[in-house]
Amino acid sequence: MSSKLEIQWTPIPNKFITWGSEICLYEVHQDRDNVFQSIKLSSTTSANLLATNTNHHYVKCLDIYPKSDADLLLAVGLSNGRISLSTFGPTEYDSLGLPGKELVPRHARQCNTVCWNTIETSWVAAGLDKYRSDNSVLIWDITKSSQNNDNSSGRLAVNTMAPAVELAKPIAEFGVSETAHSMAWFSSNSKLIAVGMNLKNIKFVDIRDPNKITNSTLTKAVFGVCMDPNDDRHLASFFENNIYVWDTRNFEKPILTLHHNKPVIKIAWCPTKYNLLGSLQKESSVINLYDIQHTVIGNEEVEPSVLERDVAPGSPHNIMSFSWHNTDENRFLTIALSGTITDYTVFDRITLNWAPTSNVVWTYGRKTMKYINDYPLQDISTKIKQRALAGYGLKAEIYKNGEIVDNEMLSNVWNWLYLSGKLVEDGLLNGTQCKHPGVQAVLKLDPSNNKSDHYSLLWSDLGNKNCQGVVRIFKHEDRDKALHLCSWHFERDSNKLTQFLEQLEKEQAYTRAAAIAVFNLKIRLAIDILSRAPENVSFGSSLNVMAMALAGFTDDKSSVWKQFCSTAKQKLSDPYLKAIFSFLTTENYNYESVLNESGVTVDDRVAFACMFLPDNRLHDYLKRLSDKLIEEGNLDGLLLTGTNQDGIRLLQRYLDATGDIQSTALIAVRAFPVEMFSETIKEWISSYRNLLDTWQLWNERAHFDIMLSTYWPADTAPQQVYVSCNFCGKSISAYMYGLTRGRGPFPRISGTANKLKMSSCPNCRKPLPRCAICLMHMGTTTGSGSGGDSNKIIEFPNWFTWCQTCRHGGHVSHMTHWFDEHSECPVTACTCKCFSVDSVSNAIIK
Amino acid sequence: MVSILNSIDTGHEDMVHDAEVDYYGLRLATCSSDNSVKVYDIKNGGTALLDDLKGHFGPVWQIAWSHPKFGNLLASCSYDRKVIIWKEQNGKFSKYYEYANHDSSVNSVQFAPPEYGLVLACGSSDGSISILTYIAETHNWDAKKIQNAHAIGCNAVSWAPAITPITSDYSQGEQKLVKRLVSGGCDNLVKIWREEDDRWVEENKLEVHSDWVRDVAWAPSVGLHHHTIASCSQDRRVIIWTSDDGTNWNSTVLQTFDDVVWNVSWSLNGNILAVSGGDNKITLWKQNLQGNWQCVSDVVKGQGQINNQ
Repeated sequence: MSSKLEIQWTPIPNKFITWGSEICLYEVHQDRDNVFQSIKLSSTTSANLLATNTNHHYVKCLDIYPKSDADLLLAVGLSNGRISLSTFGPTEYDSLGLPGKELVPRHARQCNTVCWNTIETSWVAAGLDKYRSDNSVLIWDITKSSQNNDNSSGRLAVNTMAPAVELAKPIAEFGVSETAHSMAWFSSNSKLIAVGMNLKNIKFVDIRDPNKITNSTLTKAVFGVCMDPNDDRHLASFFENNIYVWDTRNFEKPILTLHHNKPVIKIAWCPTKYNLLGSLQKESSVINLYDIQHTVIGNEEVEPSVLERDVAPGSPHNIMSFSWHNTDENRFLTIALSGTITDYTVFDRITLNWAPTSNVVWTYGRKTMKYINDYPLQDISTKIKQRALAGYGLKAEIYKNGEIVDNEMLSNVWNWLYLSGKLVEDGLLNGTQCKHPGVQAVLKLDPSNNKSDHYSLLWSDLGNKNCQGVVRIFKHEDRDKALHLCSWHFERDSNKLTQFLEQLEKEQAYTRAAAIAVFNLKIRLAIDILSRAPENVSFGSSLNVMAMALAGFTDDKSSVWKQFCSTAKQKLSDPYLKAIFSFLTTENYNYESVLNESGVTVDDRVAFACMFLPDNRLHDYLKRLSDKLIEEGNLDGLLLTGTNQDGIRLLQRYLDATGDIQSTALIAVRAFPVEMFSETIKEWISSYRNLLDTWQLWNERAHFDIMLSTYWPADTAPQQVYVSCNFCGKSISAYMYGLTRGRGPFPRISGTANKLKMSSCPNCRKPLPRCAICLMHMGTTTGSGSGGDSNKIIEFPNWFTWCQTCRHGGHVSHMTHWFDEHSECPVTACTCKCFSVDSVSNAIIK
Repeated sequence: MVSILNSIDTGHEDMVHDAEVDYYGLRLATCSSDNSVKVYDIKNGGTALLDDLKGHFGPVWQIAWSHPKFGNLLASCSYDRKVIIWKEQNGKFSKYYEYANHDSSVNSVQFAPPEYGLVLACGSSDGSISILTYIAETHNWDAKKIQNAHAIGCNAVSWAPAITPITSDYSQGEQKLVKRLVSGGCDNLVKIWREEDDRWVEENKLEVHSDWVRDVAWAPSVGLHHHTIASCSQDRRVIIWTSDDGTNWNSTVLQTFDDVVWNVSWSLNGNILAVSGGDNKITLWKQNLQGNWQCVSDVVKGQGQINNQ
């Protein structure tokens, strides 16, 4: 290696030094746009050169004073064996006379390693080459040596090359006629140092008695001796292609040998992570990381396992050195032969998990974890939660549920359920037992037997003077029912049609109103509607044009109007306008283009079909349409299927497509007959309940259960709370329960005792517990509960409640007041902190 | 926009391997290479350390909360070959059961859906999967072991949600629940296991990944009748497996990432998949109406940066 190039983080978190022929100090900062001449270290960080120190030409090794908080003090080991204390410019150390001071061995030879003690921070050790009978490891105390030289101040500092230099005396020295290759202080014991010597052993030396070797082992791996900063038991060193990990307590042989293909040039323990060793090979572009797992099984330590990982910091080939950051997790710097410096962070495995509150939790290295909020993702679960809080699905008037949701399909469903339910109630759909029959059910079509009557109406009779043709419509009472389900209930009453259309006009659905008018053969009305459309509405002016076009209606096959409309209708974008002209220009009663116009709502299309299709074609059409809607999971299909097995299939498809368990469960509960509560529906119900539970929406869950029990009495929850006497242990509630049914032990009084209150146990006659505040016995009639209605449950504040831990309690209102101001139980001498042990109240009450 | 709500300094002395929030989102448990498990109270956005559980003698890889109807149980698994189930009493956790019948590091634990009772699955580096079932009558845990589930080791296990098998006839009576679980291992395989009369049999072997499978996650179901599994691997791919009947599976590659994919996790409703990878990114994926998977956001973790796509 012609030139040495090293890099090292300083104790100041954002500064590092590089050294080779000169020592440079850099400052790292996050990228800013306006900084010039900075060196790019990574995609987000850059460095600025702060200072260079060119005082030393033959730097062999270097260490930074560990307590350098603001200013850096370097111990530089030179090729002549001297240790020079050096700084970048003027520093706080100047007053101590430290900068420029040199620590000089008796005989000049190369200095191989220099190392500050991290506990006794004024101690610095130097490891030198062999020199006859001189010691090779010298330890100085920089503060002491300066005191020693107080009287001759300046002599050491001024001219170190002068022969008259008085040698600073080391506080300890050892290693006669030996070579010290590398060394490391123990991190927990300031007196112990490990030194790799003579290419044949690593020795532990206690500097209080340097001649006695504490422990040693025979090995050639004397280079790069380094102590695990988190655990003194582990020491690593290397020789040629092998890295050895030692257990300092059991030092005979290495616990681990890691083999490389190329010679190792540097190893270092990661200071921020346990048991992570980084290593660098010669002429390599990667840093090898070893995660060493020590395990104790029983009392025996088994051979550690190693997870190996290579990271390429992205700098070009020939990384010369690397340095772990002291505090930033898994961060290191590398320097390449070309001088390129790279700032790199090793990314550990991130684990992440969803929390029920639709947050994600993940781990980041050692200390942090973050959640993010997915609210903006508009996941269905956030919508479900909002809707649940709004009381969705629980409104008694079924159509009001539709008002809560911002989804047109869902609100249509609720409206339709309301409509169909009402029609059944009014007896308009007699003949079906179902609560919400579908169109298919009420039509009871038999394709082989055409039961509907058909009427042919002359267009000219309907006020269209230009027409000769007829329009064919079909009628049957079942078809009327179906039209009712589609909310087209204007067959007998033209006022209703007008009202309906006016309503649509108010909603600005002009084209739909016009289309419905046309389908009901009121072309004049349609023209009026279109021409009435105000211009400010989107394409309002073109609607007036449409009115004009419509006014020219003629069914003469060869007429210019018809030819023009047949071609022009393709250009229309509004589905209802398209449907109008398709209908009016159609031939041979082929209404496919109207029926398949997907922009027209399902109920309009079905109603249209019910008016103009003969039985067999109507049957086929409805079958096809319902299959398609079921397949799509389109809830509009409920109109066709009603609440039967097909309806369940449709809901399942809807659920599969959207994940909206809430609407699915609610529609199933509210619309489907209880006999059909199959496993599927029960599963929906329990899934939805689980969801509410997970979100702790207890009130919503309770309301749902109450609602459910009215539809599904079999599912009423069993009694969960029993009141039994403190003394005899017999159940009081069972007694009272029996009493109100007239089957209790005292049937004589049951007839008159519908307001019966007990204040003592009916079995042993001992008194019932008392409210700790008002000292009234449970069961004593309270003032406010004296209403006339015997079925009415007394108001909640007068209920009896008690702490599950200390069993003391009383009336709810009294307890609430007490715990507003106290944390301990109101019963004298009871120190139970009832309120804080109640986890539910903790969860809900902020 | 996806925003970072909170960041907790766990005080662990080494890398955190897993963080799990309990059923109600009130508590957070973390486990770390420092051999400890910590439990935090996180309700109302706070973070108070409740307990620091010491009992493992090696890095703790994964933790799992039980359903609250079984009490507050927390399972943890560790490099020390043990699985410990902790039980909470008055805010303090104590060792409730210890299972030490694996021959190597236990990498994954997960509680089964509550419909199956109190059941825990553990996947280990010794290649086997243990299924521990609590027997209420005897207060004992019954252990069943799938030997050689994955050669070289099992990295992850995940339970299928409790879904009754789909039938054409909805009016049929009670159906027996079939317990299934999915596992991923160092043999590059994803395997699906089914319980059959007290035994666990390999029902399916899904072979697409070309390197170690790092994580598997069976999507939770809210009444849906199809199954979805996500798996991620050292081969940098995330694969979505779907099946209508639980036996025939189709695979779709969600994406090939730039680096190892560590972790996949489904949201509560199984609509959003979160993926974390070695490229230090967390991405969220959602299926659009056409059935394609789209990245809805990604978070660069190091800087807490968020990019929306």
